[in-house]
Amino acid sequence: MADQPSLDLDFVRSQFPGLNRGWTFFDNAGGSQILQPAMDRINSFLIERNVQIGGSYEVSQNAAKALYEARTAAMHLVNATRPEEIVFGSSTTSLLQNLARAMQSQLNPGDEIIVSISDHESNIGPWDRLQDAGVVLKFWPLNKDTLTLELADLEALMSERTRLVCVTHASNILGSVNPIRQFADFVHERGARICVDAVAYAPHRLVDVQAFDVDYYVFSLYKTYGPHYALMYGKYDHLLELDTLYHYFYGKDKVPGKLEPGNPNYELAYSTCGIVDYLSKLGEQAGDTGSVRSRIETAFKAITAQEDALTERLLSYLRSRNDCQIVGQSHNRESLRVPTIAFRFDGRNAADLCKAMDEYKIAMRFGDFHSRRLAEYLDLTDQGGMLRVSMVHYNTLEEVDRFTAALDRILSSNAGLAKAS
Amino acid sequence: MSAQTKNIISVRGLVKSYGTFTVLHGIDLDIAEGEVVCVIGPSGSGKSTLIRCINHLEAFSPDSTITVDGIRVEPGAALAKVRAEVGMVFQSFNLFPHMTVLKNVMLAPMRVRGTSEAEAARKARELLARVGISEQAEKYPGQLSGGQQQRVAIARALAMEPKVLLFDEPTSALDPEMVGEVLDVMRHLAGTGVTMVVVTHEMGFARQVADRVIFMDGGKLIEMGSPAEIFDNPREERTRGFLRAVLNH
Repeated sequence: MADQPSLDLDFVRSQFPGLNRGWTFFDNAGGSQILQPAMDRINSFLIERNVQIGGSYEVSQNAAKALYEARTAAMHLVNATRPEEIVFGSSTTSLLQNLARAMQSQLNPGDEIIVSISDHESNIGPWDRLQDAGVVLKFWPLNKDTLTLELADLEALMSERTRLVCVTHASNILGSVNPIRQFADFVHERGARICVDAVAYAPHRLVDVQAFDVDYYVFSLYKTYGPHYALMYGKYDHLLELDTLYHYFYGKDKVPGKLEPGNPNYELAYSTCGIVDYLSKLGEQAGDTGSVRSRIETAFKAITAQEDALTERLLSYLRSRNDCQIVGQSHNRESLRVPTIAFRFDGRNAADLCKAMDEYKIAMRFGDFHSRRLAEYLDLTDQGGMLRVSMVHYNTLEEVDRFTAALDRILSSNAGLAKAS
Repeated sequence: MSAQTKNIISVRGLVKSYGTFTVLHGIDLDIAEGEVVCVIGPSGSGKSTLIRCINHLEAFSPDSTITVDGIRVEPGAALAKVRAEVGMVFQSFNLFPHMTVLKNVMLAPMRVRGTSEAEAARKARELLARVGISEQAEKYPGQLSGGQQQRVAIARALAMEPKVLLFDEPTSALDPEMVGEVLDVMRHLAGTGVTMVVVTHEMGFARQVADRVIFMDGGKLIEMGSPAEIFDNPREERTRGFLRAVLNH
């Protein structure tokens, strides 16, 4: 196997039919394009197995097998120890809301939950609502100098009543990867558990829940090359402890079914197999003929190399302007920055600049990206907030160059000047 | 520089980190009005980060202070004022490719200073003459060599009539045969009253043009002095080692 695996970008792009429609997609942190193999799985389920599971007849048995296959694929994707550690749900937001509800009987008034200020609201709001039940919510601040979450700050917040620490693996604004294993060890040593929002991480880097030693780990498939769906990993013993969200006769032992009220969407869950097939293929193309998991690991090495090139191309452009504030690290050291890059231009309204980009058929986003608390904390809410370019491995250097050329044109016009405040 | 000369840039306890990696470890530095300072040192020593902090292109520790012409450099309304007084020339030229050379130079004064189009054009032509490329005024950047583009970038920075010009390795991206023409422009610029802080690997330029040379390594300001002091009689072993390596290369 090559030391530095690389991607066959022609193959990569051929697997995403949405890329052939004339747009450059730089809003992948909002939602990525879907893989053809994922769509194929959805279609094949709907055509061949579209019945309720739990029946004795063959088609129903096959539908149940598809769901188990989906959990097995997800197990490989995150390196869980068994398929039952995977819970499917409609989005990361709803999965975390479900998790919070399912933890209620474990929590007593006065128990404490710590959330990070740099998280998306999905991993703050559900815990915030538990305050109605007497749970105490504390915020883990971001060091404004280094833009990192520091354990010394967490230490000051933790007490013997701390039950859970909720933190993102990578902020969808800052783009830097948090040292999750280090966080997990720290939290576990103090007798608490850790719940990680990996939405902005999973499309870019290898997920290994065993290596991370996380208790709960959630991300969205629709940002990881699948349809609008999501999954949560939980350590099996922890899932057993959770309350049922389903009918009363779904006991605590019904893992993971008790956490999927109304059952998961089978065809969307089944698409996970298509995502894993694709990643395995990338690993194989990079010379890895080992296990599915091994090929996924190799695929992400190749993905990282491509993303590093994209990141550097855009950051070097932004660094070379004297009117640009890069929000987050301006350098990608040791591949610890994913290509989700937020920035602002002096005196320019981000909304107007972003809308001007629509004409160039380049899809990007402005605002706070639902990480509002972080935007407020960093004082980045005026002038339409931030512009964000969020790339993934199927993007190309040519697309970055097209973007910067379009940005040059927009910045040389009066776009965004009048509304600046 | 006279001891009486006013300091235009003052840096105190400058600390800058990228995540857990600290790039600048408490830099203290004063630069006098009109002074030409060259910053040298190995790659990764923090030279570029230092000058990027001066106009807050890189955020730095809130415990650190930088002032430019008496204005504290920090996010907020005052930052625009600082940036209007501090021009910057980068390694890459970043001219707008769809605008003529003349328009590139005219744009900022019209937009930021409210200069009339006629006055901006007059001033732009004067500056293009100063950097030796008046005849290229109506061309587009893509029609120019790298050296010519960098000279336009310098003219563009000068168009704002900055009190301070920061140069971040302005010749590093150029083919060797084009380095000289850019250094010549900078050489002529030195001594015209504009304060220049130049991050450079061009030791000959630093020796000849700088009032003061600063050697940085590992995010620290190791040694500074006149070009003769630094190049002929460096006090620190790290400076000697660096100069041996680059001058014997």
